[in-house]
Amino acid sequence: MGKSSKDKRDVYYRMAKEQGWRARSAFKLMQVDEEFNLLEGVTKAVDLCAAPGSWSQVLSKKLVENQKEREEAKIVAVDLQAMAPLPGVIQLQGDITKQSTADQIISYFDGEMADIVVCDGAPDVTGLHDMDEYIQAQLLLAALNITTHVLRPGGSFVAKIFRGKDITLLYTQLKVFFPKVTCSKPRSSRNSSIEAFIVCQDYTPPKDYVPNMGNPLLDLAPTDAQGNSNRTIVPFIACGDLSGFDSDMTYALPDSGNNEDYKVLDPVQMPITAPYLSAMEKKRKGFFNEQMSKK
Amino acid sequence: MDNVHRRAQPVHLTTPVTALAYHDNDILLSGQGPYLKATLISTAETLGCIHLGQDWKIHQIVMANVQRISESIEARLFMVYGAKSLRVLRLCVDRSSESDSPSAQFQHLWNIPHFKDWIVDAQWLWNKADLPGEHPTTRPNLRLPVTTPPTSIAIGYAHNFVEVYQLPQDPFPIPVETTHKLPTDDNLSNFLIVYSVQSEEHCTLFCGRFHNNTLEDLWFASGTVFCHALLWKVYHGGGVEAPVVKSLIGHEGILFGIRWSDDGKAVCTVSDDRSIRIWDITHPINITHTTHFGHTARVWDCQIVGPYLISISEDASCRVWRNPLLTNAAEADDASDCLACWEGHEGKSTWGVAVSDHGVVATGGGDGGIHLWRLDSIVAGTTDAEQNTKDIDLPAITTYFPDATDNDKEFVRDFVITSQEQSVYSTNAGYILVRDDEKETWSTLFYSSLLKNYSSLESSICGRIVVAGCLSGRLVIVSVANEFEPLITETLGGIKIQFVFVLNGTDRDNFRIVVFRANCTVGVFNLNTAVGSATATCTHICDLKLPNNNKAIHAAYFSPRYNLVLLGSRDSTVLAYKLLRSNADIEAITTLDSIIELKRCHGSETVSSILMVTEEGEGVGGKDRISVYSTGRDGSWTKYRFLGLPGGETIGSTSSADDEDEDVDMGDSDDDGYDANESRDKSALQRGEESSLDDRESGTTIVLQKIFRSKITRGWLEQVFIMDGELLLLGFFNKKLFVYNESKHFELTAGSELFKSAKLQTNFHGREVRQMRFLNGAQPLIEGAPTPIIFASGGEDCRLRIFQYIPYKTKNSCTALKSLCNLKPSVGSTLRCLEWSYTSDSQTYLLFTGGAVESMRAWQVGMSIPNSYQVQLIEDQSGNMIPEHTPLSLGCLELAQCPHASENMETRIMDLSVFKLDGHPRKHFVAAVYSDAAIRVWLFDEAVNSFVLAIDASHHAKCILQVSHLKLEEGGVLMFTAATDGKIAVWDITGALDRFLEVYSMDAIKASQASSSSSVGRERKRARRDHVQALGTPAVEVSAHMSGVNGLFVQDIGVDGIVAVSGGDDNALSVTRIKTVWDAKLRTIKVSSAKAVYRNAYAHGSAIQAVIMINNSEVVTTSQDQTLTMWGLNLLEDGGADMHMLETQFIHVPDPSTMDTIAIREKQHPLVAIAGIGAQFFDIEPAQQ
Repeated sequence: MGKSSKDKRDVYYRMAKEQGWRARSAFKLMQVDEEFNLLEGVTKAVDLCAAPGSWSQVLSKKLVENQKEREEAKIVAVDLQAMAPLPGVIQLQGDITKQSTADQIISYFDGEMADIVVCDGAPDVTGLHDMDEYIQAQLLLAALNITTHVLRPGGSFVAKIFRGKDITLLYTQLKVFFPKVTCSKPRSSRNSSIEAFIVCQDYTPPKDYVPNMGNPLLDLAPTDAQGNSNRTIVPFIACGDLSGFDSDMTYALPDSGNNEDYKVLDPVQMPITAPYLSAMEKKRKGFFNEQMSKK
Repeated sequence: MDNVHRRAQPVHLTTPVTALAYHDNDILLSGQGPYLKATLISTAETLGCIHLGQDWKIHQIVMANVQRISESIEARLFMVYGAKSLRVLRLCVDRSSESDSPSAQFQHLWNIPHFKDWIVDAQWLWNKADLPGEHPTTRPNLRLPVTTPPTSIAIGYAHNFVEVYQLPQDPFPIPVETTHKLPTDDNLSNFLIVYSVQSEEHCTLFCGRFHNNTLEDLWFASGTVFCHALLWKVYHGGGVEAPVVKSLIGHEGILFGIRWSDDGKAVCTVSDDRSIRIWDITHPINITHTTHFGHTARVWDCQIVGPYLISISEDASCRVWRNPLLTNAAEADDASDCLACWEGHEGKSTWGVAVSDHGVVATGGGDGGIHLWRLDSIVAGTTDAEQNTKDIDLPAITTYFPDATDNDKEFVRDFVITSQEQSVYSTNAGYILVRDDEKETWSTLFYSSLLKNYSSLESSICGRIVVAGCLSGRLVIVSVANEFEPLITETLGGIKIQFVFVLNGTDRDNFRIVVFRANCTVGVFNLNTAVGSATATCTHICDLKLPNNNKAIHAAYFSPRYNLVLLGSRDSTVLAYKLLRSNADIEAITTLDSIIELKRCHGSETVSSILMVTEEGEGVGGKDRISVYSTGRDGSWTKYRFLGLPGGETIGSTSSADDEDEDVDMGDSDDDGYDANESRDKSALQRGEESSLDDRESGTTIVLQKIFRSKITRGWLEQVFIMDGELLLLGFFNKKLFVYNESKHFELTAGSELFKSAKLQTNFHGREVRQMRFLNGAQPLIEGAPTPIIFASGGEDCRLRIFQYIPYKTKNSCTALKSLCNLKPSVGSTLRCLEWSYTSDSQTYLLFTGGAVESMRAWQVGMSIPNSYQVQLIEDQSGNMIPEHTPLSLGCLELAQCPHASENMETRIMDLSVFKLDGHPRKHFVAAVYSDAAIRVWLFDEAVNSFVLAIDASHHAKCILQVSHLKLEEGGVLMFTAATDGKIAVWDITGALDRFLEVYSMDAIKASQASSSSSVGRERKRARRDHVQALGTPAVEVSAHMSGVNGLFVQDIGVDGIVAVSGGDDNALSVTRIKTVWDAKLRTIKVSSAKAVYRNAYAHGSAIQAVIMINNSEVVTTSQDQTLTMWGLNLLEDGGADMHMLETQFIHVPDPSTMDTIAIREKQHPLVAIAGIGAQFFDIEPAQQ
């Protein structure tokens, strides 16, 4: 398999590199924005689970355009992992399920509120689906919890979700805070992928609601065995131009037929840290070859 | 419309095995989705199986102590938990029957659903007064020396807090009943919370683990997402939150597993960073740890068991390590820490592990299989080779060579071991010496100057005869026991003999000797050592011609029955030669050509041994089944089938049958992308067709067909042999020698057998299944037998598998899947789609598969059962005698690979639809849709076994997801395609097919010639376009969904026209009605109307993945939301349609991708199967009135 094979398989992967985005997911936020106009007039934003930073890049580009004379754009980007710096983006390394992280984000806004909170985070997927969905739900609820601290009433919240078996329960909980909740699938997200984006608009916290990181907010009720009879219904919208690129389609490379000439671009930003770095280092030194025991 | 409401009754599930626990050394409990099962490991028998309820998933089994009911009956309290539910059960084991296996029954005591948070661990607690002394209970299978019942349960939650619940009553006095009835949920308020505490660190945990069994001494170890392990005392001095006592800091990733040592002095953690760390926590401040790398992916769990650590990982292996606490800490971090790496599960992840006191390790895979391994195999395997090596020095030369002086240079030229007590040596001086290895005494067997300075020694398998090859090309043949006079053969050209093979001949006293000479020629000799006579005769029969450039022969086998010699070469080729019958009269030595030349049998590595086995009457049609096995220095063994030999199976009969339920790999080697599997098989056919003289006389074609290759070691395999009917393999790895039992999947060690089969439970695919298809219309193989239920499946693991579904029949039998075939057609190519087709032979079917890198293959699938088999009648649940489903033998042979037609090799084939046209019984049309928006119809012609491109079109400008076809009753063929844009296009392909058949029939011969030359060689051919027809534009296009159409089912409902039911990525279910008019004169179909007439935008909570119609009015859908929904479909008179939900239920298959149905002839209702990560089967039964 050639070095360019991923370029061939995934048109958005190739385009992200060409246009200088740190990840193909930049297109997902742009396509969601095209549909919902979420970033119109926005100057203050929080990007949760930001690494490697492509959503912060999109926010930065849009928010600088929106910048007014007296009101400067402010973007706070948070992630568990360290992230390469981005101009104009305040970076914070921390766990969004912890109180201290919430406090720190709030401190950057000096009593002001954010116009939008976005979260493109996904936990480490183990492969045990119910566990993964639970952890993903916890991450989303943590993001929602932080959102209730920093989002101005009327603001919006966009987060990645896995459309798995407990998805309707998540909808129910989001509906408590946002009258308008839409499940949206950008065309840059693969048809085969379980991911989608939940777009929550017009933040309206319940009366007398006091944001509190102390207790985990709104834990999920168990799956109702009989399922769907009175589940919360959330409209589904496919967004992005139908005549645009299809993330599942195999495209010929620009100078197709002459693949040797095709120049494969390196990713814009390599990950700067990963849990498996020590293991990788050992692998490079030939550790695994010698060590793999019998068979 | 008489619409009987029906419901889908789950009848079988295969999904990852997530929990394992031993009751004792023979009974293993396993949890798989909602099913809890007890299995006897010595016989692999299922003792009991219960379903815990629809929304259950068992994550862990925690055993309590044994309650003795009587002499032979014991009960065991235990609990299972999963997600937020916990249940307390009792296992009752009755060993009173001496002849039968023990019986095991499950009893539900309490069912506690809906705890407030996710459970990461649960622990039984006793009153401190009831526990004498120290009690190691960290490992759940240990049998506590406690006679009193536990009083409460401690539960650790994912938000790092602990609650202790009191049991509502003493469980022991509850009468032991064996009811299968599910209890109703107990109210949580019946369980008093006696203690509750939050850790001072508020965070989310992936794992946690208790230590000790009294509230007073209870500890909790939390594995956090910020790489730390926190140890805290549950029952602490005061305050609301418990302080962290110890933090274990060092991991570089999320902690996935944490365990205590039995004595609580050490903690073992595993992480995203691929490491295992053992923390010595005895010192209050100075905590030290050792780090163990080796797993190639994330590690899920590790436990400390005596001298070992046993870990399981995402890399699907189970590893055993030296316990660092018992060795010098300075030696830690040493690569030799890993003692064994057990790789038996397919695909991704081993999830469950349990260790019995006898050292039997049970592992549960993501593939749904359960494997057994033996710790004592490690002891044998790690014995240092040097310790067992004996140096043997020749005796002083003067003791056997009278003329020699002590100064003469003497050394061993070559040696053979002839028996356990005896070895034979050839020396530089020309002596052949025998050593009695017990008495360590030497004797001279023979001396010849011919052997001076060079000899190549070999013995017969029986050890009676030793043959030395000389520099001069002569052979020296001696009898070790002096049964005959030593014999020296003629010079024969004077070429040095490099290797000698002494092969068994027609009887005990007959041998064939094969020699490989320095000039790359091979000679065959016939050696007769008639009993009683003091002389032996050795005749040079013939020479064998090797292919050009052949380097050397490393393996040889003689089959007296068929008079064949098989050779295996250093360049990975297997050769077969047919010897001439009578050789006495022939003056001149003939040089025979090979009749078979099969290349790349072991990649490009040496073929190290070869063996042939005939099973009389076991083949198709009562013929003999002739198998060949070879081993290679690529670490794999290969199985072949010989066709066309006298009395054996022939090419015309079902080609290959393989009844072994074993891992088989085709070309699963380190070779680059396009392994030459296909060309290998083809070259065999090729060679067969142009085979030698006597074949033409008998009119049969001899073929050696490669069935599979299975790699078992990273080192070399050197020898294959069969002992007691089991295939044993001998090999080397890391300078160590091992013997591997292929049928049991473990290395041979001394000691009694603890279990019958290493595979306690058959595995399914190890990764997501992308498509499964039932074989509809299969025929019973013998009269009176039920119709076999067969399905093929393929997916992300790149494997093509065929299973037989054996339904549940009696109280004591379990529904089962039997794996009939497991092939890996090529490395790195996901199988996305597959479809069956039919031949004129009722036991032979065709299967078409498609997937990544534009690969599409045609397979021939043949079925058989042993000829001796007779239908067994068994009693079903209601007491009727019914015929039993018999496991079949099935062979799957690749017939052809489709040439590629796209510009871009990364193009995926997304879906297939296969049909035949009336009047063309051997022509199979395969409609395929591609990820680059291409739509192609290929002809697969049985007559020439090759693909020809018939129709080529492109539409949608998107990745196409679905293709379907409809042969209309009045005439004509419609094709339906649907893509990621949500549109369904309808095509009339009648005319294009007509035009193609016109040009194709004229050119069929030419095409056949072209195809036969195209099938050899490693390069996949580009499609020829001589016959291709264009298609133009679709007759009509309907926009049915907002995004991708993942499921499309098309049905012709007569007067009501055509109905297309589709399910989309947009969660919606849609009905499109199409009316057509057939113009018989022009042979065209005119679409008079086509309209999406019904749409339910909220049919599922997530993307619909598959849609089927089980009849004209009932539709079944499945979705990423893990539900199965049945819908009633009403076609309205005004041309519209209406659907209503009949039933919806949770399914236990994550990521469901495919669904299919089969009508079972013996039953009135259909069977529906959904596959994704695992598979679940449903009987669609009439609802109870």
